[in-house]
Amino acid sequence: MSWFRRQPDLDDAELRDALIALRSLRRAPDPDTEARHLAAIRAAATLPAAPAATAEPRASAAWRLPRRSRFAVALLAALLATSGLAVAGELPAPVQSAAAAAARTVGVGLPDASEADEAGRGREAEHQRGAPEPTRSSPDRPATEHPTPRTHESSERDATGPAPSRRSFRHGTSVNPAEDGARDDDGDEREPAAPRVPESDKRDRGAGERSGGGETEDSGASADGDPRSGTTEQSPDPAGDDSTDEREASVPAPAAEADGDPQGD
Amino acid sequence: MHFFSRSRSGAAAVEALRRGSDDAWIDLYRTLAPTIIGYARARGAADPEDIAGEVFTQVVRDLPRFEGDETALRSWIFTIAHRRVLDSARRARRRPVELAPPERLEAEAGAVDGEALAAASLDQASVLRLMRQLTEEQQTVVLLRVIGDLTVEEVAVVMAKRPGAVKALQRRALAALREQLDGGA
Repeated sequence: MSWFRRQPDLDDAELRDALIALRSLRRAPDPDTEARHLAAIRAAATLPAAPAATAEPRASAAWRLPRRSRFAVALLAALLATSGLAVAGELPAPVQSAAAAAARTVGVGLPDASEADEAGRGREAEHQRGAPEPTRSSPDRPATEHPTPRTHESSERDATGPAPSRRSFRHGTSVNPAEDGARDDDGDEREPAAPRVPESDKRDRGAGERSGGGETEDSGASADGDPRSGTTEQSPDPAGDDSTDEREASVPAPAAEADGDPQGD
Repeated sequence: MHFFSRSRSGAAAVEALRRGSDDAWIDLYRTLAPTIIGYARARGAADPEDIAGEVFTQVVRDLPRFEGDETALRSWIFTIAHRRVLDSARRARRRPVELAPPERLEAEAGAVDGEALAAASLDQASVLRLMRQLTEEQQTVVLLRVIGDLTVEEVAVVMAKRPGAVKALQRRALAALREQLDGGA
């Protein structure tokens, strides 16, 4: 007797043969297949049952504690990190101010953001007043530039006046033997300063080149006091500040070139 | 087992399966495996015995979550079998596999219900050809009712339909079979 067997409840006299033919499609598996299936059923019935009964409570007990401890560790790490940043004064300014105020109430001194800002501003002012920052000037300096004239000019400026602006500093870094010669006290050596008048010279030189004239003749004409060249106006001033102006004039603005103004204004 | 009433026996059978009784599992397998294999064969599954093995493995695995008596258990098992057959047919459509032709089924049927089949004037291949003239749902109703011995209510559970809808499908399917048999005769 079987628990699961039952009698068919569908019968139709007209379809009797068809129903018999359909029921004949039932077929018991061959013994090997049956043995394989039953072995699989036994294995599945015994193996997962035991772990399934005990796995759930174990899993919940095992997961509850690590989850809490994980949260506690994360909280502790965040607290330590923010405390360290607050002590170092590296938090964002509003947060740092709030942290400093809170710590002050319990007697702990933390750097305040406003103090840090003032200190930072002071450092900047020092940099502006003092020697130029190498990091700011270095990008403007060409790779082939020689540092010697800069040192020379710095010492000259220390003697003559205030710290150079960025523009004059940039000009100061340029190496022009003619400029060095112009600063010289010897009048004979000042003559080669003529190439510092490039606008007129360039025009003359260009005209000379176009007309086939020699370069030395044109430069000689400008050195002779050609009013267009403006050499008389740009004669070196004994005052040390003129060297800056002269150097500025040696790098004329494009508009000044077009106007032919040697001052570049 | 004979002292169990019908309702008690159903509950006791399911309980025996839950306990892992070897006798209960063998009885269940030997009772239902031929019907599952027959249903899969009638639906043209390539390997009906493999489907039966997969069905029983899933039954064993999911039995702890099952709730109900023997009747519900039978519906549940055939629901699994029905879905496995549909999955097999879907896979066969994606990767074309030659479905078992009715002639091969007839040759394989051999000794099964040989006497009844010999007495009948219709062979398996002919009736399967008739069955394939029906719609998918009509085939499912007739095969579950005839091969699986499921009641209308149990078929309704397997197909997720109302019993009235299953009755209507059965009525139309049997009428179509009669019509085809009369036309063929």
